Amino acid sequence: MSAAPVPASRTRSPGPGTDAPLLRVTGAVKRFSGLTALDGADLALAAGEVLGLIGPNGSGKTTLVNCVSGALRIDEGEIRLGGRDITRASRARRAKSGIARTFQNLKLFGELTVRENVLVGLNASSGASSLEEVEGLLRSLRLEEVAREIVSTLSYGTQRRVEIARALAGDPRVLLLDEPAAGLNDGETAELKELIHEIRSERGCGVLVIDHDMNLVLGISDRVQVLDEGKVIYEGAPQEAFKQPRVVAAYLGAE
Amino acid sequence: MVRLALRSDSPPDLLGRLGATAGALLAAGVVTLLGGLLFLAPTMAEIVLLFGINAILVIGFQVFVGNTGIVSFGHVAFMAVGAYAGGIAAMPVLDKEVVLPDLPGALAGTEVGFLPALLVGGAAAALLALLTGPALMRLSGAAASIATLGLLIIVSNVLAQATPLTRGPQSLFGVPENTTFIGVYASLAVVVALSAWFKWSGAGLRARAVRDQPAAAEAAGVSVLRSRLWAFVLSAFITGVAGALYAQLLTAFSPGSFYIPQLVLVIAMAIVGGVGGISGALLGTAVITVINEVLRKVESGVPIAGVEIHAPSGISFAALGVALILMLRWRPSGLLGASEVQVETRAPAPAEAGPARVAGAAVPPVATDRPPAEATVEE
Ligand SMILES: Nc1ncnc2c1ncn2[C@@H]1O[C@H](COP(=O)(O)OP(=O)(O)OP(=O)(O)O)[C@@H](O)[C@H]1O
Ligand SMILES: [Mg+2]
Repeated sequence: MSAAPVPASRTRSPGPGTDAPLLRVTGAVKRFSGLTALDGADLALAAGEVLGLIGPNGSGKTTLVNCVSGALRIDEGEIRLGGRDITRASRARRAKSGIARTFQNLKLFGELTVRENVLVGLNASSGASSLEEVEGLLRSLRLEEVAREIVSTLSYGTQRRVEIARALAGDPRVLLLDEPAAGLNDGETAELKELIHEIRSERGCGVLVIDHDMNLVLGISDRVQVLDEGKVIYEGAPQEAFKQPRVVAAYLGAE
Repeated sequence: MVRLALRSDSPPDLLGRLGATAGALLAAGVVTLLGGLLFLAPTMAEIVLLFGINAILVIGFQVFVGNTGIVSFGHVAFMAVGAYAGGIAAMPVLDKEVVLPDLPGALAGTEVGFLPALLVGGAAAALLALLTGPALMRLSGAAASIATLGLLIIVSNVLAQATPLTRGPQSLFGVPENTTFIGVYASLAVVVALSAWFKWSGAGLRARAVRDQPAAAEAAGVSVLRSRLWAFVLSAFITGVAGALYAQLLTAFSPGSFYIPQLVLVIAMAIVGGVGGISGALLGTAVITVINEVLRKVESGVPIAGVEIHAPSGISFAALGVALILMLRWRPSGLLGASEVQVETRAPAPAEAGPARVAGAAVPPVATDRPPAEATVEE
């Protein structure tokens, strides 16, 4: 897989090391009629960084991704991308300014082909991407063989790759992966790990990875953040996370 | 090397888009050829013209329903608006003084030819779609379908009350009989090319992405409202053109001509052929027209072995219902599904590098089972 590099075209703003992170969420609060899914959560993601977001079921991880991608609006707090306030920006605006995502439950355009799915992703690009780039993406994600197949007829693992290809087609600055390894076998998970490394190193994207596979998350992340009941209870080195009594308690309490 | 294929995915590049459009035109050409042969029989002339108009109507319906997945019960309203706008525009000034004495000045004093009347009909329908679309296209699923039915009811009632413009519920007559074989089938060719081009354009792809998964389309920066609106406006334009053709064929019609029976006819044709594609729209229109005409013949009595057999009247309409139920039970995506006739070009193999030519142009399209399946005629 590493033979064909993941193409990238947008010239990048400075990577990690610059003071302002690429994506910054401060004090995000999201309520669903009585239930507070996010309770003052913060998040910072730098360009070229892989951040793992973990936490028990229902702790608000997907909600946080939805708020960043614009599928949901936060009730309080602020979201900034590259210094610009995007708290009130529409979903389409956020996509065009470089936020791409995948979904916990696959959301592919089922009646369209693999190539068409990826072409729609191109819509989010700032215009620099081209059709050749789509072909390059299909190749690097091993999708060229099935490019003309209707996506709903393909295996689950392949569909997961299509979703990532679609997100990458918009040449994003921030990539939000919501449980990308769910439903994958060991071989596919190893492949995914390598892919995330490539995306980070060759595209300079900031990548947020949510997953319940701790081997995966702790293995690929530069940093992790643990959510519990909508609050950040740990932020720091991956190896240290499960040495924190609060984190262990959150996971045990959720059993 | 050029070959003919029946497939449902978008062509990869501009050349492929031209080929796919050419394929749809080829399908329309086959239909036109058959129509032309039948047209020579005097009793068939009106049926052939009505068939062509219905094909345009069903393609107009398909452009919206196939690309957005919203079943519209309102498209007959665009046909009505196209018929009235086109018909009034084409009516001679002298006739207007008699038929529509209260017509406002500017309208009363002008008359236009056949082609401008078609454009007036299409533009009036497109304008209605542009005005109502921003409200209607926010809805999805059954709510959207019912709202489009509401549009039909409103338009029908407005036409029935706007007496100075339409003669109200009474027949509007005096529209010149301008619609000819060439007029209908040239319009069909243009409409087929237009809808194929739209289907394979970025706008068409975005509309189908929203159809399949609106949340994911929005996450890719696609505006749900805008992508549906373009499909709605184009499909209204096409449907309005069909209305204007209809007006100039029948010369007299009333708001009742554009109501539920016409709606059922369009839906049956679209569903039988396959609402996903232009080729399916043509095939479905042909199948339903044949069934309809045969049964109508039987209704009015045919001699079999010396005895006149009369089918109960109304059976042709009931047959539409049966055809609909059978299709939805056995082949819900229609005869052709989302597949289209596409002309594909392939880099010629060294051995057979000769002048490229269209292979088997006269071979009719073959129905496939699944969308990814591919039937090809190759030479
Ligand atoms: N649209 C919604 N309406 C109402 N409640 C919601 C909605 N979305 C999420 N919730 C609730 O908010 C809480 C957080 O949900 P969320 O999906 O963000 O959790 P998660 O951390 O992604 O969990 P999992 O690991 O199971 O995916 C849950 O209690 C959930 O039921
Ligand atoms: Mg989740």
